[in-house]
Amino acid sequence: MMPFLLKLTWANLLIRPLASWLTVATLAAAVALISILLQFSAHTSERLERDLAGVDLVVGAKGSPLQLILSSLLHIDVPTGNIPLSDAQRIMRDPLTKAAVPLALGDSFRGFRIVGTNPDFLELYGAEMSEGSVWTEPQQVVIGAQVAKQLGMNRGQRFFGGHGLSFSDADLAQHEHAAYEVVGILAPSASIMDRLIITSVDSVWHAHEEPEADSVDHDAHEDDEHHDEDEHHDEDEHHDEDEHHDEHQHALSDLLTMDAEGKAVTALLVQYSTPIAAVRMPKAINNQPGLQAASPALEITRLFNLSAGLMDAGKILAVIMTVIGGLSIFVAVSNAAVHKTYDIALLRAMGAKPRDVFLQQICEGVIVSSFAGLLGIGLAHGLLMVAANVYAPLAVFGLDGSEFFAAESYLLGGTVLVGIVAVIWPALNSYKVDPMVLLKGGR
Amino acid sequence: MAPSVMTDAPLLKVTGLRHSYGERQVLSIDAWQLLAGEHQVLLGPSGSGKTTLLGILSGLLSPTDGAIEILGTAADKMAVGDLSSFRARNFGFVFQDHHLVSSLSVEDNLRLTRHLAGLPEDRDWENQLFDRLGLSKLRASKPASLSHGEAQRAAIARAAVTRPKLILADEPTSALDDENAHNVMELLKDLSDEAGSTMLVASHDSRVKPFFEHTLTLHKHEERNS
Repeated sequence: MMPFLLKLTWANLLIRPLASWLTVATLAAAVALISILLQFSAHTSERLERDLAGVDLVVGAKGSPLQLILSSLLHIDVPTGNIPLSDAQRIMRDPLTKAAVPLALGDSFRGFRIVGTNPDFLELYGAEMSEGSVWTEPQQVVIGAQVAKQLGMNRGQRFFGGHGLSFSDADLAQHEHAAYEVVGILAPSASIMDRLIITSVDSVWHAHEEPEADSVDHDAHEDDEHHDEDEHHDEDEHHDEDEHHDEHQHALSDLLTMDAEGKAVTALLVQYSTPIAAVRMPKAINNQPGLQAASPALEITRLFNLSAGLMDAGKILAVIMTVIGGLSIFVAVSNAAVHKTYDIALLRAMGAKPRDVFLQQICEGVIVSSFAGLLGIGLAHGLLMVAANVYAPLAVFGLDGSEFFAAESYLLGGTVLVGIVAVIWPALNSYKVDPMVLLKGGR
Repeated sequence: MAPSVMTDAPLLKVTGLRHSYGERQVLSIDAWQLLAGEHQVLLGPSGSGKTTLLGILSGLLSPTDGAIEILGTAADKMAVGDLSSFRARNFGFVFQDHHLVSSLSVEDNLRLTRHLAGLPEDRDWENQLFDRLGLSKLRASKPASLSHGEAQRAAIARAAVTRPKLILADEPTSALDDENAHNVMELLKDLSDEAGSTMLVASHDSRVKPFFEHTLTLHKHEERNS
């Protein structure tokens, strides 16, 4: 008997589409908001844990410690400045330092940051190559999986970085004398590595050197513009590339031992060799002019505390919207039940048990709320996908809507529960409809 | 289906039936019965208790006093759930207002009735009903798009779709003109015969009386079988 009652429930919803859709839309909006909040809290903490990569301390130029963390670990802010390489070398040699990975930042390519560093950076994040190999010469880069996918880049492809962080080449001053070449692509890791273009520190230094008048690499520029056509595979261009590489054919600098005169890096990612370093090292560094040490754990906690108020406001709004959504189902089903008094009486007169009529009303709540739940969750993911394309930091936090997680199944269950609770009262009232109204006449 | 044959076995048997709304007694029948296969009309003015009697006979209303036996079963001994199933399997209803389920098509209204009676679909019988009642082209239509006459014919088809033992019709012609009233009564009689159903029609419409050999006439506060 139940399948036909389901058909009747569906027909009842379709016969008043506007009311049904409004009800679904109201509840779906609440579900979408909750879903976004859930994704935000779930993804950001998980993602941050990965992106902090066990870094105990970030050393950089004086300024905002949060900015230093955001720029050096999450790559969503501009750096605070540079620090002399000599200072960085001193920290790298410090016995309290287990590992120190240098970063040279400042450039980007179509919204993806170029990070000058050494291969230890890849080890720090446990990155694995999916294609090619790590750079062995200046101007060679390894790109993250998302960079490769989003920009359609392959090994052998060449491009110019630009100063700053922007999606548009036009916004950036191009380093047209220093083309980069992709030599490796990283496997996806659901971490910040997916969104980075990684190269040696020498490459970034070279990009920022004053270009010689005739050293602008026109071949590479053309190649970049037409990379889809694979023009760089032409024999002549291979020849050009070979010449170009010959110009820079030299070993990569050893940052620890090289002459630091006039050289600078943006930051150092430090891991302590001993717990006592947590007490001594930040203090010692902060006492030096031009240097600051920022603790990622401390700054991220501060960031979370700052956003907690916003999250709480979002949660309160979500609860209010859910209540409104539930009330909207209640009102819709109650109104429909009034209009359906004769239909309900008819069902009873024709032999439907009171339980069947009650269940039919409950089904209506379940169908509406299930649909709203699925629509809301789908909407949240769709919105995040669009938003992540427009606002890169969302993607940095993993908020790109591509991943569904367990809490959303509970959200769906909760939404259905709201739907059931909302229709219990009208369902009980329909249970009490007296079929004699049919014989008493009138509609 | 062969036309139903009236037998001496009572399908409905009423003894000492009384019903009151508060202090006001509206129905009083000492003894009355409806034989299987019989077609009977229940006549009487407004307030004479016709609707109350139909409600009691269909199990939708409990009488203040008296005994009712339906198909050999005491109606007051049945649990609510059993009575619902009994009604779905054995009764067909035609109401004054057609009371089709508004969200379902004419065809689905018929199928819902069979589902509630726990019966499988019977396409042949459905098709026969649609043909006989001139509803073949309207089977997918929603009740709101039907004329009053079409809706009433659909309601008759629904009443007969389960081949019920008893068809109860409440003022089936009250809103119809003479021609339609005549057609509806002819169809009701023919279909109840084809379905093998006993029929009781409650009406205050004098146009209905010629279609029946047996009449139960109710008067206010008293019962008189004419």
